[in-house]
Amino acid sequence: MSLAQVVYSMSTDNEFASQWNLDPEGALADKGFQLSREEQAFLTAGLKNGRSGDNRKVRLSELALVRRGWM
Amino acid sequence: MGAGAWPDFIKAMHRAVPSGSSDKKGPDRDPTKWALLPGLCCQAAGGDARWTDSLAAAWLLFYIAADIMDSVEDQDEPDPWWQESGPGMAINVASGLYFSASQLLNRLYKYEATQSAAPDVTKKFLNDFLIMCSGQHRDLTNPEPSLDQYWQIAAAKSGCFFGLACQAGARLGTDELNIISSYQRYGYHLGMLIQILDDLEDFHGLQSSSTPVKWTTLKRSLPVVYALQMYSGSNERQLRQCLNDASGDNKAAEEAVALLEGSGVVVYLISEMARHRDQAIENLEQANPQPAAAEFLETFVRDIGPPE
Repeated sequence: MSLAQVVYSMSTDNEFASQWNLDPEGALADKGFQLSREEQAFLTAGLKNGRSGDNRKVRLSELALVRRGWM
Repeated sequence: MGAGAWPDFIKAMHRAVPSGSSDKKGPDRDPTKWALLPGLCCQAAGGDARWTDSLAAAWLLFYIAADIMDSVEDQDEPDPWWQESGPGMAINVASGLYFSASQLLNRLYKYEATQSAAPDVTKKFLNDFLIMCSGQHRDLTNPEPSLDQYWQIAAAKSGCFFGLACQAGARLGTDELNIISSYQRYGYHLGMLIQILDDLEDFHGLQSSSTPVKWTTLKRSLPVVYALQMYSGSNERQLRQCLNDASGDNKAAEEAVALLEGSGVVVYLISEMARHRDQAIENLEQANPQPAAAEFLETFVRDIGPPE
């Protein structure tokens, strides 16, 4: 559940998202979130692959085509 | 298949078996591909893949039977082979496939290479099938699961079933419990990854006019469950309203998608896929597998998981 809450906060709170980019541990601590190292790595993968090559946010319908090759 | 069954019933059961590449649901839903799992796990654990022939065939028939039952219970669009005769015939064919699979499992007692493991394997199949049925029961009786409940149900259905394929295959290759458990966990995480992709399948229609979106099904999919759990107040009410109206109203459908995307659902799904990809591979490595089979097992995960 905590990973979901962190992702949601990142999507709806620009300040938190910016702080995460600079200092993930500090951003989590300020918000009172706890993520393991592994979960932070999963989230990093999510953030990286959640954008296409031209830095555009991946749409849900595009993600649905995942099996035909990643963007 | 189906010793004791009449020829026309055997023919009907054959028609229910998908032909692999022609399966309408996409390559990650091709059960004939996943039926390689028991053999590969057996080989990776030091056994001979041929020892799993009956086991793999049984698992495949169980998979197809469960898929038929799921389609009928969810009132999905019928497959062509039961479109005319209706869900009653489909359920009967699924029952025939269950019993045929049970006959195949019994063959494990016949052969020297498999007879010592046969009691463990058959007991595990029956036990895990009851877990799967429990997950399906909860799925059917809980139209709006929380995110935690969603993961519990996914674990009981897809995670458990793919874990079974790998655990049972490995059991025919080795007696070492920790190794067998590692394969079970590998299969579990592979199954969870497949479940996430399966839920995404229903969103294909957002880009393709030839595949209409089934909004009623989407309400229990991971993206919607996540967004409804995260949103509160006006966003939650708006999403619910849009989901209710989306079937006949393109504007409501577009708004529903925008709300889903605004919740961060794409990043969440990819993060969860990365979790199950990494944990599958970690458990595979812990099993210290034979390299040739391990390469296939790792490729299965990497092919459907997000890039690293």
